[in-house]
Amino acid sequence: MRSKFPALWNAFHFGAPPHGGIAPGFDRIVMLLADEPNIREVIAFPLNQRAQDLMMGAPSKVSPKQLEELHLQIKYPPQGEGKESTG
Amino acid sequence: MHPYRSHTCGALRSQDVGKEVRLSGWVHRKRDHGGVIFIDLRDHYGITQVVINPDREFFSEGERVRVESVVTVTGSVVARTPDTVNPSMDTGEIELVAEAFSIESFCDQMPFPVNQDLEYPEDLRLRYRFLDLRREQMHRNILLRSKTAQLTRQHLTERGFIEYHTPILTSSSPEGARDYLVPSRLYPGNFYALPQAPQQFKQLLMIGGFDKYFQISPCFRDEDSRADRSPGEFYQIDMEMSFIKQDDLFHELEMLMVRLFKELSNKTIVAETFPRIPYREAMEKYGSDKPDIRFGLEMVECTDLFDECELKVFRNQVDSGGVVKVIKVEGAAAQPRKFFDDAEAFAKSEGAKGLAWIALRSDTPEGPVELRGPIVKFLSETEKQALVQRMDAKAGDCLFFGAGNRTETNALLGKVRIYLGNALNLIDKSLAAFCWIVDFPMFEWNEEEKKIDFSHNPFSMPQGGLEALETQDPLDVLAFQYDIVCNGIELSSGAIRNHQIDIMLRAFQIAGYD
Repeated sequence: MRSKFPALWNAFHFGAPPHGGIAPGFDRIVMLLADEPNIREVIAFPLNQRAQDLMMGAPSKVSPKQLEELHLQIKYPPQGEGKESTG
Repeated sequence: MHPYRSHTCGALRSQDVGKEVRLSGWVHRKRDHGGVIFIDLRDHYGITQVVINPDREFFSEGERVRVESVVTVTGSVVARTPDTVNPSMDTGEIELVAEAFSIESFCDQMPFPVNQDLEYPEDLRLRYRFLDLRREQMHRNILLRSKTAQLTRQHLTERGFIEYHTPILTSSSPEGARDYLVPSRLYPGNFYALPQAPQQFKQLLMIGGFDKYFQISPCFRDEDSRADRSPGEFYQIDMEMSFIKQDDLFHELEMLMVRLFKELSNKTIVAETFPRIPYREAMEKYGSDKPDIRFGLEMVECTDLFDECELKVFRNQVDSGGVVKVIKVEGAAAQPRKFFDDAEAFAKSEGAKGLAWIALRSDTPEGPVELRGPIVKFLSETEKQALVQRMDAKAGDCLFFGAGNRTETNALLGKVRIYLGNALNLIDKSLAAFCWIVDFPMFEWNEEEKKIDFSHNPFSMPQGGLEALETQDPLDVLAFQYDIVCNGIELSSGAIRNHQIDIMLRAFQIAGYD
């Protein structure tokens, strides 16, 4: 726990108040208020069901320079296993 | 006069007749009536009818301009003749007779019309979302979203909550869904993660001495989409409070939800103090921890009635520790055979071997009740009587059965329950039926890894504190962990947190951490 949640682990040693909370989903609330069965109808610019933004072309490939700066090398899955990109 | 507009397209009324005005907007619709051009001019606020007479020098421009082009029109407001007044439009009593007309920008051939509500493939709509947003329905939805955010902020601020910002670039969290990772340029091989929720930060704000936190916070999870789950990112009304008990938080959230639904929807809230259903009861009655309680059809356990039953599918289940659960549907005995066949086909599509049913009929209202259905001949008189009594069934009612392993039967019959509710139109769409699911188990058995896991948030307070962890079977320990559900949709999980380090250590130990 110490290594996985270092911040909370530390903080709980310095006087933590009793506390509690909740986080109702905003999109789902609007969906119910609007009587829309599909959550994407209450989001201005949602990703589609395959997690793509067809309008902006996301996700997309980036330049070799960007990858280099980030010290990344792409290992592509065998043909046909990955999804086709939008951009 | 302003170069683009003196009024909006939703503003002009009969008292404005005679005024010189200027409007700008999109050409929503265009009609040619015997040489006169009528344009419905639309902006964010509404639609105003514009008239271009044939003697105008810009008449040909008006003829040429395509729908969805952006134009500016100057002219005078004229009262419509009584037979052309349109009471369904806010501006339906007047029209604007054009004296000057200019095209601000042209519109190409539209990929789909936006002036009517037709179904178009979602991918096409999303590729041209900026056009799709011009549709009245989408426009209304996005406005409602804005109002919801505004009212949430107003309400919570009035209640003493303070809005905070928490980081978007943070560290990967080992629990929960798959993270979106952001590679670090400065630290090769290291990654930031986008927050799945500001969970730890809001707790740290409480430890930082603040008291009531909220944030309409973006959350990022790399998981697959569903009808009620957008892939990638979503927003939540994130809240945290110090020095509270579970009841305080429930009251606070009930006030917020009631206000949002009263002010922003036409739905009737079934109960403003939301019923609390223990997790195990929800699973037994509804077969789901997010029950739709707009309708009944609760499952009733009848296992004990069938321990000597001749019907093998029941008897075998009872003998091997399984259950027999029954749903009563009032008045469904009169349904045609097809209804029962369809229900069975549905149950089979969900993995059931079949769907046993019994219909209760009588020839006269006071006459003896007769049980009918494929399984009746296997039941003894005692079993029949006990069943009718347990289910409080009367002539005209129908009983549906599920038998098997407890967890599977609950889940399956729970789906049948929703199916029947829909098939018989028992779900009143005008209702908002909230409930709390409380008393979630703290731990669960991980069959794959043969170990005990946290069932929800590892930072929830176990009910009974340290003593419960020390003395009870871990799988019996409940947590101050709850869900809020509306109309069968889970809106949120929440919890009273574990703020004591010794309890936390013990809980993590039980879940196999060092």
